[in-house]
Amino acid sequence: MRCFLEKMRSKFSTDGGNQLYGILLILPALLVLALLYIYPLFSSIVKSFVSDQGIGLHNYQKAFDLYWVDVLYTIGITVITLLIVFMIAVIVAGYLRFKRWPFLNFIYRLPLFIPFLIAGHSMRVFLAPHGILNTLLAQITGISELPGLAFTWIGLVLSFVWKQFPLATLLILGGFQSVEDSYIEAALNLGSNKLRAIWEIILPICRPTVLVAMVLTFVSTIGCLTIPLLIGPSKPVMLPIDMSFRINYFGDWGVANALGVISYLIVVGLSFYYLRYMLKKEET
Amino acid sequence: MATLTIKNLNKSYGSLKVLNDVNLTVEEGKLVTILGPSGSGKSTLVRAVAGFVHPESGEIYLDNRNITNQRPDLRNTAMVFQNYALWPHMTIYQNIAYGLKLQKKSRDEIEQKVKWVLELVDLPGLEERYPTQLSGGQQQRVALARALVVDPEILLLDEPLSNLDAKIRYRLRFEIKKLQKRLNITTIYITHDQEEALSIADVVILLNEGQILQMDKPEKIYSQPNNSFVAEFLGASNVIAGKVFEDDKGLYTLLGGARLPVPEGKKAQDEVTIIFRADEVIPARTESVGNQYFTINGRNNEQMYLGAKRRYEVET
Amino acid sequence: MQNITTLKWWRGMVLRTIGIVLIGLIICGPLAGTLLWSFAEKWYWPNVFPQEIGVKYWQNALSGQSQVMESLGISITIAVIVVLAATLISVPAGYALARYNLPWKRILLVLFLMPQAFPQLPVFINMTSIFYRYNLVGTVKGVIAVHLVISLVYSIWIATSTFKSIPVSLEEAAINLGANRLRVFFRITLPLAAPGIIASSIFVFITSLDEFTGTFFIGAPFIQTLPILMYTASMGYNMQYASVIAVLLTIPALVFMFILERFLKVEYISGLGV
Repeated sequence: MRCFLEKMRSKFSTDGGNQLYGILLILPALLVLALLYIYPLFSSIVKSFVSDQGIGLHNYQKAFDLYWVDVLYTIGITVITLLIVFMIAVIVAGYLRFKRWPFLNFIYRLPLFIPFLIAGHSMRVFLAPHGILNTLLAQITGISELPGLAFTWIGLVLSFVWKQFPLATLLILGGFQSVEDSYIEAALNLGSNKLRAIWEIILPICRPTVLVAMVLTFVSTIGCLTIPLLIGPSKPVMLPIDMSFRINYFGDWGVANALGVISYLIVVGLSFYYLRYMLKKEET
Repeated sequence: MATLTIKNLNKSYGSLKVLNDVNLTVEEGKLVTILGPSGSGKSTLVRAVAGFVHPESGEIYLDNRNITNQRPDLRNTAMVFQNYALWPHMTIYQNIAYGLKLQKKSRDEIEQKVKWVLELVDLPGLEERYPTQLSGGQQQRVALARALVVDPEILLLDEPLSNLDAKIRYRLRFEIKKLQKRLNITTIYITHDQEEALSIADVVILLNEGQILQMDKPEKIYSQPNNSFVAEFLGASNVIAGKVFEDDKGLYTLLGGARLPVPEGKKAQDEVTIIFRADEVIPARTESVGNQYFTINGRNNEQMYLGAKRRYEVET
Repeated sequence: MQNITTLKWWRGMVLRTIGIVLIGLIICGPLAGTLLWSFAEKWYWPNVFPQEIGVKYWQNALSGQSQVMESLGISITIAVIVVLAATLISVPAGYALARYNLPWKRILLVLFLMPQAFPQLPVFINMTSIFYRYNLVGTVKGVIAVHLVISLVYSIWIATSTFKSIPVSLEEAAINLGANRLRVFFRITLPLAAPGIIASSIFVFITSLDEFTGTFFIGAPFIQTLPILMYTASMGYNMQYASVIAVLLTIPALVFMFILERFLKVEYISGLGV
């Protein structure tokens, strides 16, 4: 009996002993991922090089000709959103790191739980020319016929920021709270004020977390279809709209995929900095 | 260099009173150790001086300046933390230079001062290393250097050696004392280690449950403790209850047949506490060895071998 | 001295009250607008509030034959199946990632994060083209597949985090007393992991319920989940109708938020060690 138990023990031991069992456990997940994600992903890259003119960069050429404005627009909107989200996240996280405010702590998380689609629809209602914001402002200031922010790039950015800042704040606040009090107090003790301490001490220590938050914000903004659909202007548009347009109206998989690969490259370009930093950390 | 004066300081957290009417003065250039068990309020006291704790009532003065409600970054007090709090993303140079940068010193001046203070703490040439590359003892000295380099009016040390091995602790405490004397800087040193406190202090303050029990020179507080708590904390392991008796020769109390004197102000039938240290007792089998000793008769019940010492349990 | 403190206190209170009003407006304003629209029978400029309030649109939506109820049924069915599938797949995977020293573990973790950390739309587009070949477009099966891939990220991540937080020593103690691996897992590990797995299930449920983009491509035109219905209504400026559906979709998410705040710690979600 004892030797049977020993055999069982060694067979299923977790200290790197028998990896086979572990691989078996993870296999279903890997299969699903491979079939339903990796395969379409590769297909998208491959298809981007295939057009009715043969294999090559024709799709990319066409994509650039048609959509270079939208590419720049997409990057611009995403970067502006990223900067504003970063600012808000650092301010809110900085405040909550030092002071208790249960109201803020609760309410800043709200947009996180609102689906993108609902956020888009609500912003549409809120920022429309005769929407709630303008109605309120009209009552307060007496100015009627204020331009609506909906369907402008400002409305788009505001909607993105509204939806994205909670996650970034949550992550960055988590990072801030993991910095021990004594590190901050040491800075204050030597003459730094709270703002300086946040910028020079807390943020650098939290760099990995901040980078993760920024990458997540960037990726979900640049790849979002619903919000630009519901509240973005009709020209220029974000890349996802171009992609779906290309498919639904032209059946043009080649150019659509070329646009897709372009968005991959933009994301990889940004994450490169993050990945390089994380890999450096692994070595030390 | 400044004199620190604390008047009637009170601080509670909810229903727990952490500082109870604390009054003390630290004269300029002196090293005062604050000794006490965990939870006695030592850290709270020093953090109040640094500005991280806001007292409910009372006042704190540096020389004549009332700093009670001043922001911590304006106080000119420098603190060394128990975990050193060296910023991991900065080099040793940047850590030490931080305070100087905030004082808007020129780059040359900063370079000079950093070099000077690193030599002072016996760590020359380590400017470009990172804190994680240093040993505990080295990190502690960098933390000290960072505090000293900004020329503070008072130096606050919050259990600076508690995280280190006994051998390094022993060595470093004297280095700190030498440094303090050399720079003549007013210093408060918190510790729970009574040997540490007694060996380097000019004045020892014993704190318990937020109150100062005794404030004296090390020799005095050791040989003449005010009450049983102080005595026990400083190593007296024998605490026995006794009673005051009176006869024609005067007031006295009894322990194992020995007639012991009684302090002033006591009368017959009062309760007293007899306290003495183990190292004040000589075990002997024969009768009294002279009039300079009190002879306590008793029976040895148990013995325990402790290496350098032996522990006897005696019943009278 | 006392005067200065009270002045600072008053200043703090005033600032905080202004803060509450402004922040409340910014964050709750858009949501309040949608809520109001769902109850508005007549609302036009320049009124701040609807001229006529009523539950007409709610009644229409919640009545037996309405499109809303049908879509709700579809959405919930799909979500439940996705939860089951995701849990069945991610619990073993999470356990393996937490306990075993798998080869290329780092790469695997990044790989599993990719569906959420990388642009999704191009992948959906190509999924559509692949699914055409297998007649999966416009079917419930296809939509379930899409939802599964998306939710897998969260469920594996949370499962791994959960299992990691259970000390190995608890399992080893049981083994030491003679239990075999399977028994240990079902009697000890799983019950301890239950809160995390429940949290992950709720998360997956809501993710599936609210999923739009993938369903838009794969499910069209036959599968009308609730989000698809809402989108069509909103684009058609069918304000009240769209808002009713929007509120319906938001309720589960908000309920989840309250449950999360009250009973579970956000530690599960902040296990971002990648």
